[in-house]
Amino acid sequence: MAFIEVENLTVSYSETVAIHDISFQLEPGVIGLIGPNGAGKTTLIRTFLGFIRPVKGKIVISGLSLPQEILKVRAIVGHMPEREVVSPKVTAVSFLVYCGRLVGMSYVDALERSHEVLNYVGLQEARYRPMQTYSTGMLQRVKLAQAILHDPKILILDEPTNGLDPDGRLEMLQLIKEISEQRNVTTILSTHLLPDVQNLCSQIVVLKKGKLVYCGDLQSLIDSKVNHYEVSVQSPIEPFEEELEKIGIKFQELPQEVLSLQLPESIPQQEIFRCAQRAGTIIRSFMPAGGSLAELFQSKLDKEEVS
Amino acid sequence: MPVYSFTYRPFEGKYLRHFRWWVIFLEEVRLWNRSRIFQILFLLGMLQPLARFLQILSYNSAMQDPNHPLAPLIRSVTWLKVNDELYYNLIRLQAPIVLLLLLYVGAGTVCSDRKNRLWDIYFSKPIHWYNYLVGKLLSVISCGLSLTFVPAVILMFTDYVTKKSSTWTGLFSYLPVMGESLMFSLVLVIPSALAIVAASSIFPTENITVISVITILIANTTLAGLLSNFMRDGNYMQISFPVAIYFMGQKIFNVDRNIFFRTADVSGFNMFLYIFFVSLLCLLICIFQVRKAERG
Repeated sequence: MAFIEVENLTVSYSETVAIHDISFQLEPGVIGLIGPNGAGKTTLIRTFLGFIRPVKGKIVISGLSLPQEILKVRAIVGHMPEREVVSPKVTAVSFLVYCGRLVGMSYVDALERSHEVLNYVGLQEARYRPMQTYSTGMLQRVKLAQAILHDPKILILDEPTNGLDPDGRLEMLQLIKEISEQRNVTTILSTHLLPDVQNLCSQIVVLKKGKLVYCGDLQSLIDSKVNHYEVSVQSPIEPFEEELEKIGIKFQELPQEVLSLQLPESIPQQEIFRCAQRAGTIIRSFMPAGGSLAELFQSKLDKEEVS
Repeated sequence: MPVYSFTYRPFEGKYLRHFRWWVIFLEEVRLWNRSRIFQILFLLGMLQPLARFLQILSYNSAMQDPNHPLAPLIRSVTWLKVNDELYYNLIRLQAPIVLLLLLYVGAGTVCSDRKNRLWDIYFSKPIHWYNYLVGKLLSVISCGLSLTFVPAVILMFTDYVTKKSSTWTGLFSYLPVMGESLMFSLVLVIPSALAIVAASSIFPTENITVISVITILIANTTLAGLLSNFMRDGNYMQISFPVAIYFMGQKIFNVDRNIFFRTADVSGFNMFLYIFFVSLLCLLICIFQVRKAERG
């Protein structure tokens, strides 16, 4: 049984359908939830937390069905919301103690753990200051601290690096990586920043306009593009193109005399070099193409647009 | 290489699964208890109970000592008498400061959480909307009762102790007036608390909530005054919510005073229904708004 199971899920706000009949299964690990604005990422997160009741479909998280067992689900989930959250006159310690008590911890447990997690996220010096004096980065850390306070099985992070400077962003990503790897916490990371997803995630869910575009291993998505290459050759380029056509290699001309090639499974890489030899030209550069997540993401979205 | 050398332990404690509203109640009480303005308002609210305390002390000592130099004077002043009406007057005269204090503690209960986007965090914890609402409402109600019912009970105990002929069973003679004080305090505090929390759940900031509640009260009382003048019937005054509450207090304590308005024709039950329906409306507004918050 998968860790997170979503079956025929449809969610709507009155007459607007935000998520349309999606189904997927996810295993434990770091899961990237990506998609353009209005794709339904935040709606999906809010549905996981029971804020929104689905119109249709089934959600099972760690064996618990939603919305029937919503309190049990919330007890094992830590949520870091996207928007800036501040309890102005309260110190970070008091705020976390309150959050811990809301989860059901005793006062002593909540106090002990508040200090531990605030130290962990790097707020040891500032933890007795009122939260209204915190910078955006510090508030992000408080949000992360309250999410991990009760040692959740699942961590849902909505745009965790929003508003952070480059150093802060790297530190936040490092913290997320540590939490998910060392403490075996399944992390759902909703973000627009594809490099963050590429660095952290093992699985991705791609949404567009409320529909599922892709769900699965990130690595297998990247591997599916290994037969794409970008080749730059010395002028003239035409004889080389003729040779490629002869053996059935599809290509596309890019600027600056670069060709984008798609190699069928049956043809080895060496054949490209032989084509160049036969055309009497020299290959200047040869590299795998389309490996970046941004390009893969865009190609997935484009396909969805066409279909 | 970890960014910080610190770490945190796995949580191995037990989760308490019930009475989550109690956590919210305690947090609210903790927050307003620390405020200087609250402390000043509360001390102002304790002035009248302090005066009543001195009144009970002086009256009881004068009444029990025929040779007391002030005894004839105290006997002749009717409003110095210690009887059931003292507790009615205590709660009635506390009403303005109670309203002020409730406005101070209640105006921000819901709207500041919404303004600071704290709902996103609170409702991701295992609590329901009713835990949240019960905690918030009880904190505001308890604040009101601390200036009405609690001082009344302390004064009753003072009266009992300062009477020389007091016996242990004499305490039971205070039960009826204690019940009446509780009823009047609840009639005063619960609708006010519900109205303020309902306003707080609708309006965006504390200031707008306070201004709105005061405006509604003034408009309500002005309308009642205009109607009673035009219709030449003093009973219309009881459309005014504060007048209705005072009237309920009179009925509860069986006091008959018509200083500013005539109350003869309206039954206590009808007034109770009026207050009950207004309170119910406010409660429904609170429930609707907080449920909406939980569902995003």
